[in-house]
Amino acid sequence: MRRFLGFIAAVGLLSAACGGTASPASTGSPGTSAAATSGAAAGKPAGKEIVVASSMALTGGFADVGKEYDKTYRHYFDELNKNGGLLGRPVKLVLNDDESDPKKAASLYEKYITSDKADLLIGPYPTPILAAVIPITEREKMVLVQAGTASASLLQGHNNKYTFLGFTFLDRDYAKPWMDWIKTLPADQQPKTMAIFTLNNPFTIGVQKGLADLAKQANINVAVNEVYDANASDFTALVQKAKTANADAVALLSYYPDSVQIVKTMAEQKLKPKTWYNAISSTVPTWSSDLKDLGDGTVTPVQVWHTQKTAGVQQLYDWSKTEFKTDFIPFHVGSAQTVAEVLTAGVKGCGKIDQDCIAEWLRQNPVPTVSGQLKYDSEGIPQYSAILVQTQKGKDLAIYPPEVADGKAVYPA
Amino acid sequence: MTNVFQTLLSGLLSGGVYALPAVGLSLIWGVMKIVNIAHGVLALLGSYLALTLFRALGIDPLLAAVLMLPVFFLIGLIVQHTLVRPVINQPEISSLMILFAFTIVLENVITRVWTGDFRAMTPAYSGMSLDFAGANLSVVRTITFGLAVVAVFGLDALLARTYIGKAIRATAQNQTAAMLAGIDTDRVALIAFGIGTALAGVAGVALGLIYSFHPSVHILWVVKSFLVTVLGGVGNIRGAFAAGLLLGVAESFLGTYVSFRWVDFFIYGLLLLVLLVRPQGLLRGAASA
Repeated sequence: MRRFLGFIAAVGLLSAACGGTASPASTGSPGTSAAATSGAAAGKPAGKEIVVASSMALTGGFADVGKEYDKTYRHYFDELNKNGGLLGRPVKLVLNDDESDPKKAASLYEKYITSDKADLLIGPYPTPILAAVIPITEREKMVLVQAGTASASLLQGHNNKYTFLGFTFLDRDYAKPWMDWIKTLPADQQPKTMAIFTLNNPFTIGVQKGLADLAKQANINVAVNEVYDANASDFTALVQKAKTANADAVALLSYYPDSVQIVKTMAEQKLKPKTWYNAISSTVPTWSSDLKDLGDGTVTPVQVWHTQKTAGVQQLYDWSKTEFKTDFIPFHVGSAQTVAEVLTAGVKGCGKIDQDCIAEWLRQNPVPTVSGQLKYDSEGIPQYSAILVQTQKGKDLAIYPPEVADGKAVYPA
Repeated sequence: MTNVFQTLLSGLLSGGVYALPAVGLSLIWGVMKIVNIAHGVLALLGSYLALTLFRALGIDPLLAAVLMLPVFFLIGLIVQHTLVRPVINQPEISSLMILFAFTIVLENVITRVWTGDFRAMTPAYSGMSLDFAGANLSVVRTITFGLAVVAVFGLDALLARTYIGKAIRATAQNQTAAMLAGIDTDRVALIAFGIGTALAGVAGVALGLIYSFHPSVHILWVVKSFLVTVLGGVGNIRGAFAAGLLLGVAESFLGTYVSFRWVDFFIYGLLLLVLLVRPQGLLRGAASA
């Protein structure tokens, strides 16, 4: 027993130590930032730098997505500086690695606000990290534009005054484009039974609740509705349960690593639903390289697609193709661009760096972005819009709504 | 009935996955009376090395598993000789803490070399399955199960039929008596640690084939290996295998027929129960063949 207690103590120490030391150092800091550089083009900005601070998951469990945000923000502010900066001043992006750790992110934002006196803030990714950061930025009355969480439980009902969402749909609407598309299928071909696999996390639980309601409205029986904890690594039983229920629609409400794991298990167990949805993962550029043909057929929501007619989409598409070697705008690249556009629109609209003024301006004025013209409500949530994308032979194609579709849905997947 | 059979089969295959890393842990624990908390991170090193061999040189992970045996045996000898041996006669907490420190260092080395990103190995047979009496048999899990069987019965034969195996068993059962009988127990401990670490390396390749991995995942692996080792009886190789299978089947049926959310509750509840009622494990312990 003594040895057992010693082991438990050591595992506890190990967990604590690993939480704090697992990942390499940040990619930038206020003093030694690898931040945006001023360009030499016409309209060169002048004066004191405007410091935009953010933390991002550049290592750890959320790094695949975090790197997309990082690259997009750096690109955006580089371009901004090349085109005259913000309010005629150069912008310096300070973006540090939070190692996918909420505690680390919280301490970084405390530092940005109280010690570094950053002018503007951009939110981290994803929900567990924002759950730690939003209370700090609200308390300090700093505007936080973010596309790291769409969790209604974090964003609504808390009297948030300074938090603005860069996504164009909340968690409960994440599966709405999927369900809307299913309703366009002939009634006798629509799926009848659904299995939902959900990570125990405020965002994914929000998606789950919304999906369960939407499925009911679409007359789909949710036969399996399982929540799993973050330390789960073996999903065989979960997949087996869906197979036993003859699920012909499967939803993976999880982050990237779990989605990859579940898809591999679905293939092993020969679970082949007519349609399968994942909340986040398949527009991550490594999806098809990690999973190859196993990743084909899945559908996922996005908010920006290159077939949209909104300003800046084509430029973002061209840059994405070069930067991410994809033939589409990855989901979080579109979200990140939207965040940066919202923040700069607020500052330009105000004409000064004044947090209350920026927040009020964003609530009162339509904001033009690559995601369309956003109109924020009193809680910093824009109106709903979403596009459904399907992975086909390693490529992502928009399949719904028809006005932006650049491919035909493969059904059954 | 097919579903029950499939659930049973899936559970058995998962059990093999659990047993494979536990066998090496159990051997070291049984012989040296130390809990090798670094076992998980050593296995993880095997996963990353196999990943590099696979991606950079195109070496199949199964071939990599074979290559890991001598490499990790050597690593085990070095770790035992330089870190464990100097504190072997000190209180148990000394070896625990030194291996804890080694774990942190190795985890940080892994993070520096391979970054903190999630990784996955997807050879051509990843995601493939075979039909077996109407059930699906995951190819990678079947391979892992096979590796576990080879490890268990190979080690079993080594312990039962060779001089060094008998010396390991003797040392595990009574170190003083073994010394009096002329066995070089220091050498036995060194070799046992080497064998255990070699098995960790192989287990790491197998785990990396099945699961996504990242630098701190070894904590989950070592905790589960600990659970299997305790259930099977410390030092009991066959016991570890049986406990792994029991655990896999229990998880499979609980997850399929009760709820996935309750799996950990039941499994770790079982661990608590075993520790309270039968701390020596469900089966006979002490490096028994």
